[in-house]
Amino acid sequence: MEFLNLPISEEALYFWETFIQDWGLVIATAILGVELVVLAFKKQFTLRVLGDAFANFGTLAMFYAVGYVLVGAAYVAGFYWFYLNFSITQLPINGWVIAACVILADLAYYWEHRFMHRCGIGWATHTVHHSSPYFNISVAYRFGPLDGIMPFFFHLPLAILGFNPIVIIAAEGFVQLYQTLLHTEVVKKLPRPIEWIFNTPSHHRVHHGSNPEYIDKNYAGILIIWDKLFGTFAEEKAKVIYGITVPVDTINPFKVFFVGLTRLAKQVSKTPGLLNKIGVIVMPPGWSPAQTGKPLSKKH
Amino acid sequence: MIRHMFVTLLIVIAIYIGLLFIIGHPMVAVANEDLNDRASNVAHQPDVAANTEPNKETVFFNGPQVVGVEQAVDLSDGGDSVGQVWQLLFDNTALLNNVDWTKETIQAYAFYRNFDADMSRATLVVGFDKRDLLLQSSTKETKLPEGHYDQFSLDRHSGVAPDRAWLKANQHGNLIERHQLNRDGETVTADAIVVWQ
Repeated sequence: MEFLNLPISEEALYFWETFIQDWGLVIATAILGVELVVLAFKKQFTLRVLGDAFANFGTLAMFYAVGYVLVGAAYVAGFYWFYLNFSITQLPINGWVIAACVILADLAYYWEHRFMHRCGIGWATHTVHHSSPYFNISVAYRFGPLDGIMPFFFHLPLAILGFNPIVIIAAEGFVQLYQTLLHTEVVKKLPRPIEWIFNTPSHHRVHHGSNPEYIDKNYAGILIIWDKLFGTFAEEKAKVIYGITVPVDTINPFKVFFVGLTRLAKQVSKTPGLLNKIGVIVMPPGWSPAQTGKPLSKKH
Repeated sequence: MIRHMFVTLLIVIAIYIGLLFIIGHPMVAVANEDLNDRASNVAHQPDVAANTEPNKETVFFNGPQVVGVEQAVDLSDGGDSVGQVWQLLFDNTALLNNVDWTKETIQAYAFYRNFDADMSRATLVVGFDKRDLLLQSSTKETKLPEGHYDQFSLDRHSGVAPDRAWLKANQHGNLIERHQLNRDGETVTADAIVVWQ
């Protein structure tokens, strides 16, 4: 285990983070090809499936446009600012620190994901990801407009704990890549010990289900134990019905990208009173003044 | 929800403190020192090995050969004479050209020893790890001490080791600053250690 104590440079870590992300997209595209071939063999392949996949990558392009151009630099700079001015210490970069950061980033991901489902503005952006009626690797790249901003607030405590921002971003990237590879129906169930500890395609299919028993379940990134610990776990039993209960019904990536925010804006505009409007934005999806404290079904 | 957040906080604290102990971070080393200091005060015994015992299994400094310059320095002049020794190193173009800057990181060391009684003067060796050189060098070589050590963070603004590091240095007769440089010669990470055998 001595190798875990060896120092690792920021430069080397940045190289690997970029390498993993770049090749992650290549691997994901290859998996999509396999998935489409499997669908063709099952005679389930339609042009709609292909169009939906293109829409998913279309939202990815817009996500990159928003994320990288507008907030990418601020995101990293924000981490550095807190790390240099407010961190309680500055941890070295080595295997132990990276491993701990991945576990803590995974826990941060759980809470960020839970927030995205249980807060109006969070769901407005994250609903894009859930709006596909299909489930394949391209869905992993179906992002909403604010999906790149939310993680900042949940991972910021790691910078304050003294993790180097490069380590945090690499850990975030690793969790995200792991999550990406879960978006497939090709893999059924994995061996029981793996299903018990780790998030798997089966667990994540549940997360994408609009079946009543699957709603707001399995938020995990890498470790499913967080869901088991916090009571948000559900096993895949019934056949999963993907998507949201009010379908988007379009493969136009522009409409898909803004569907959640558009719906939220409409809901805010028709809700009377400033406090109630704020309530629609910050309370769980489906909340309305008439049912204060009793959120409606999330998958609206 | 609140209960879940509280559990999360406990998990984060447990992982974080566990990490600090595993990597032998000075924050937990200081905590141990404080506890041991109190215990030793009660027993009227000087603290020596007991203070640093927790680090024993996790950290060992191998004492590399350092190639560079050596000079007596005044530790009370606000860092002027220390800066001059670093400047001497960077003026040695033959040595700088001999460093393998294609490596991802280069190790540079500042090794203080031969302290006088009031810690106002010392001998300072500043140089590169011999393993980071391309060719044999005719520049002076110094073997750094090896053994278990206490680690300290440098002040993030001044780059100076904290007072408690100098107290340890006075006790054990050495203080080594480790600077990890990138290909542009900029410091990526740095810390200070005091080797105690």
